[in-house]
Order: sequence, then structure tokens, then C-alpha cells
Amino acid sequence: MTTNTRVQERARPINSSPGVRGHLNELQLLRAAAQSRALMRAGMTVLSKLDEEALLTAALDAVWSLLRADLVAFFLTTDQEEQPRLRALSTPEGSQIIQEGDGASLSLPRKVLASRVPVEIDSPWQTSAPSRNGGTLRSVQSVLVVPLDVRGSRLGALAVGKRGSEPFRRDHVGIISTLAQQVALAVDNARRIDQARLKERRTRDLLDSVADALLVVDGGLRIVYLNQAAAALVRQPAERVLGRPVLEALRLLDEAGSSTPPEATPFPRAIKEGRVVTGTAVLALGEPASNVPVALSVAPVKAPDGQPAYAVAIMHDISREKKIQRMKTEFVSMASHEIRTPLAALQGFTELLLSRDVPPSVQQDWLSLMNEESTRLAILIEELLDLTRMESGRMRLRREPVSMAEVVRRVVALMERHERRPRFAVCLREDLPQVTADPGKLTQVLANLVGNAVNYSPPRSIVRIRVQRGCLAKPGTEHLGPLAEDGGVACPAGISVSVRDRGLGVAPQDLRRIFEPFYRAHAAKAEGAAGVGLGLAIAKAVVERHGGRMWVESSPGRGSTFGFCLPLDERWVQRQDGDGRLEGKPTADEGAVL
Amino acid sequence: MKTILVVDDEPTIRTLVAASFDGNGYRILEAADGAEALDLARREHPDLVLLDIVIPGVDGFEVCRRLKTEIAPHVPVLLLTGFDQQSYRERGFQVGADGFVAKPFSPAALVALIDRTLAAPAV
Repeated sequence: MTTNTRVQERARPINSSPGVRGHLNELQLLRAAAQSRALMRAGMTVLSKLDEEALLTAALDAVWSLLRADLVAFFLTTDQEEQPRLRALSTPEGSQIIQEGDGASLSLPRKVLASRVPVEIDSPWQTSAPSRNGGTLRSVQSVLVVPLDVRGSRLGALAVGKRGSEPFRRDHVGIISTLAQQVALAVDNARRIDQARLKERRTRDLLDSVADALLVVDGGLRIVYLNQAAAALVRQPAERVLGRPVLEALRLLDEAGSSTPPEATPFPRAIKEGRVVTGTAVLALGEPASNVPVALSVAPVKAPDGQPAYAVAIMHDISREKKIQRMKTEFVSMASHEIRTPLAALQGFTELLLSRDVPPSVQQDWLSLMNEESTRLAILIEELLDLTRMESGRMRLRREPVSMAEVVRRVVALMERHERRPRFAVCLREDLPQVTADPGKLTQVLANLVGNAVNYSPPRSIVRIRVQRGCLAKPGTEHLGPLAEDGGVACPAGISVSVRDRGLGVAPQDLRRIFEPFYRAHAAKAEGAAGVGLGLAIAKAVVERHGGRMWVESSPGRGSTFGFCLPLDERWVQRQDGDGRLEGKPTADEGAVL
Repeated sequence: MKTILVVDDEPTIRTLVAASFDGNGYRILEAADGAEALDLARREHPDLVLLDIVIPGVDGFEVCRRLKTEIAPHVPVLLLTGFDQQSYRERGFQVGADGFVAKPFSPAALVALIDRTLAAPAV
């Protein structure tokens, strides 16, 4: 191993200025010219490498071929470490690049490495770094250490060793110093390029992580950048879009779906007017079916001369907002339709009764029809208000600890008086955790589900009600989100309630839509079942207001299971999970017909 | 005696329409859904069809289209609807409807409208 102290003591600085004394003969001149050409070529090769490993390999080759040295070693600092470490080593057996942690243990005293001038050491120096053919390096007798300095920063040192003990030739010292400067420059360049690349990649990663679509056009309206979200929005790989005129790559239509004159679109306007242009548009992506409504804002980016050089556009897919808007319009339209029918009966029969003589028996018929219709109207308006209050969040929930067992008992007691004489099989444990909920609203939800089960089943059918810790939905059953197409949202996995019937069942195409306001499955209409089609929408809204999720499983002719899962109160989760008291299969009331 | 086919899934509305024409010299046929309406139109050759748009099965627009293209092209069809939006009117005219009656309606005005429609020379 290295004898550090001894080396340090015997190290002697040498004068690196190769002052030419006396006259050189022609041969010497020719040799000097050839040498400087070789040095020039070697320097160019090293400088042309932009990658640290490649340039170190080239530098080892250059020193080797110029000097036939017995050992060439590069020591480099890193961003993290000020002390230079061996990075590249060349011996007559071959050269190697040393990765961090390779364990090569060739070292030079810190003081020698830190010197700003070349230092020559005449002492044995050896390394335990494995050479390529598996052997260990023999020691070298003299070592010349040249600092690698550039632009005021210390990058490390180049060490050249030879077996003989005679001093290094002056011209060799010159060559080594020149090469060291070039290597230092090349290393510094490579590191700066690496840093620039890293910065660029970070910026790119950052822009790609932006959830909204981001697109940059130049002054000529050509796309110069788009992030991942933008490529996904226009459904094309970025390479296909880059460089193309933006108005050609993205067809922007107005909200009604008609084309807009190019100069009126936000891109040229932002650049021409030099201000942020915002608005909504429709992105035409091929067929009319795949048009995407977007909200976009385009901001000009000014060049140093103050002229807009680029424009940055942010586009946000507003399909969901549009869908909600459409559903609201549809809801109002359906609500008005549903109100108009009973109103038509009330107004029409009133006019007939007032305008002609109607026999008393017919009068009785009409009045009872009017009575039915006014009841229907009253229920409808009540439910409409309920649903809108629930969905807009204006419905205040009176939350308190509620026992689901109690809610089930209440609903069963209510429904047992139903004219279809249903029977109930209830399966629940008395020690189920309570939920924090509005008991009245939960009763309303369960009454709705049980009511449907009774109405869509033959008289005297059995309706099974189950309450359990965890989720009762079969694997693969989707929990519904606030919008029908949100399907597959996470289950709050607290406590779940299911109501199973052996009735009509729901066709697959109706399954999600039955929760939409006013949507009444075909089968339900054909059956002439009562109701205006708001019950399930209200039940779903109530469950969602409690942080829960609704789900349904059904096949036509084989019955349906409607269920909902509610989250448990945090306090309960903590208390119950500790002793596991509520785990295990339910036992009480299994299959009992009440 | 002229025959009017009333198509609505609400029995109350059918009763109201029938009552409105009581004593006005019309024969009233009633259908509760699209299939029944098309069937009655084929067999009974009504002089006018009063058609609700939202009915189970084949909807009112489609019933109207089939009446106008296949079954009874010259028989006037009035759409009876609780939707009074422009889009419904446009779609109605596209499928060949001759007019609209919005719910709620005055029985006397309905009778007058149908009298007028049937008195107009056939196109």
C-alpha cells in the first residue's frame, strides 16, 4: 500500500514552464512538431466527448499513446465529495474506468492532490486495484501529479507514473500539463451539459406531471412543445404533433360545434393582441362522437424585444362539467314534464266540470282521478325538493350514533303492513358498530330499497335484509360514483346493508341508469309500479352525503340485490379493531323469517 | 264519424282526452304504448292521431315516423307533450308531425284545434 507520509515528505514541486534554452536541431524541431500535432489530436478527441466516461477513456488512451507511461490515473472530485477519488486507471495491462464503490484503493496524499502546480514524487507507489488480467499492479518508481483546474474550480488531478527513477522529461511535463488542462475543460463541459440535461429533464418531468394539457406554439403558430396530458387530450403521440401548425393539428370548433375562422381562435389572438385569451371550445378529434369540450387559456410569452415570441396554452377537458350541465338541463326538463301530466289532469277535468253538466257518477270518477293526481303532484314536488336539497348540499343531516339494527327493525315494522304481505328474513348481529348518520334519512333510504323489493316481487315474497361489517357486494360489483359513468369507485368499507328480492330483476342496460332521476326501467313501467322515478336517486344522494356508496347486483327474472356501504366513525374503527370483537361470521337471526 | 287515436301511457290523460270529445261526434281509440298504437293505426284507420312522446317501448317520435312513412302518410299527427322545448318541436317536425299540444291543455281548445285540423283540406 501507499506510504503516504513518506510520499508527502519527498514530494518536490517542479517548475512547469518549459523555457526553451539553447538551439534545437532540425530533428528536435520535427519531433516537437509531430509531438504537438499528436497532442493537438489527442486534445481534440478528449474535448469532443460529452460524456465523462468516454472522455476519461479517450484521455487515458491519449496519455498512453503519447508517453507510453507505466501508469496513468485520473482522480476526480464529485458534487458530493470534495476529496478527489480514483476514477480512471491505465497500466500496461489495460485501462479501466472505476465506478464509485469499485473499491480501487489507489490514493495520493490530499496535499499533493490539492497542489496547484505539478508535483513530482520519487517513491514507490502501488495499487491494489485489480488490473484487467486479474493481477495486481507492480509499483512505479516516479509519479508526476498535475492538477485538473478549470474556470477557477478544482476538479482533481492527473497522475502519471513510470518505473525508472530518473526525473520526468521537461517536454513530457508540458504534454501532461496541456492534456490535463484539456481533460479538466472537457470534464467541466461534460458536467455542465449533464447538469443542463438534468435540469431540462426535471422541467420536462414537472410539465408532464401537470394534469392539465399544456401546449406551446411559436410565433409562427407551430407546436414546439406539448406535455403528456396534451398528447393524451389530442389522442396523438407528441412526435406526430410537434412542428405542425397548431390550427391544423388541433381543429378548434366553437361551443355549438361549428368551425371558427382561424384568426378568431385563441392562439393567433393571444400572440397578436399580446394578452391572455381565455374561453371554451370544442376539440374536433375525427368523428363527431369524439369531440372533446375544453376550457382553454392562451398566454403570450414575450421575447426580450417585447414582441410575443411564443404562446403557452393550458387546456382542460370539461366533458364532465358539460355532462353535469346537460344532466341538469335534462333534470329540469324531466321535472317539468312530470309536473305537467298531473297538472293537465287537474286543469282539464276542472275545465270540463265547470263548462258542462256532468252526471254525478261521472263527476265522482273525475274527482277521484283529480284527487289521485294532486296526491301524485304533492309527492313529486316533495321528492324533487328533497333531491335538489340533497344534491346541492343544502339538506342538513342530523347526525348521531345510529344502530343499523334499529333502522332495519323500524323499516320492517313499516313494510309488514304493505298490501303485498311481504315476509322478511333479517340477518344481522346485535353488536354491530353504530354509524354516525341521520337516522331519519337512513330509514328513508332503507324504506325505499325495501319498498322497491316488495313492489317488484310477487305478493308474499321473501325479502332478505342483511347488515354486516365490511362489504356485502360480490367481488366485481361496482360501487357507484356521483355520476353514473364514475363506476368502480372505492368502497368505504365500514358497514354494509343489502336488500335482496326474487322479483323482476333489472336488465343490464338499465342497471346504472336506474339511479338517474326520473329514469324508470322498462320493466318497472310495464309493471305499472307506482312512483315517479326519484326514489333511488334520492337514496343514492343520501348515501353519498353520508360518505357512503351504493351498489346493485341483478339479473332479469332472478331478482336484485341493492346495497350500500357506509364508512364507520373513526372512533369506532379504533375501538373495535383493537379487540377484534366484531370480526367473524354473523350468527344471530340467520335466515329467520320475521 | 271521425276516429281519433289517443296514445298516452297515462290512463288519466286518455280518460281526459276521451271526456273532452264526449258529445262532439268523434270516436276515440286508446293505446298505452307505441306497439299498440301502430297496431291500432293499421287496423282501424284513424282520421287523426294524438300522440304522447314519452311512451314505453317505441317512443312517440318513432311511432310518428312510421305512421308518416309506412302506415298512414296522410293522417295528421299531433304530438301531445309535457316537453315544450324547441329541440322537441324540431325533432317532431323532422319526423313529420303536423302540430303540438302542450300539457297542460284546455279540453275546449284541444277540440277546437282538432276540428280545425280535420276541416283543413288534405295535403
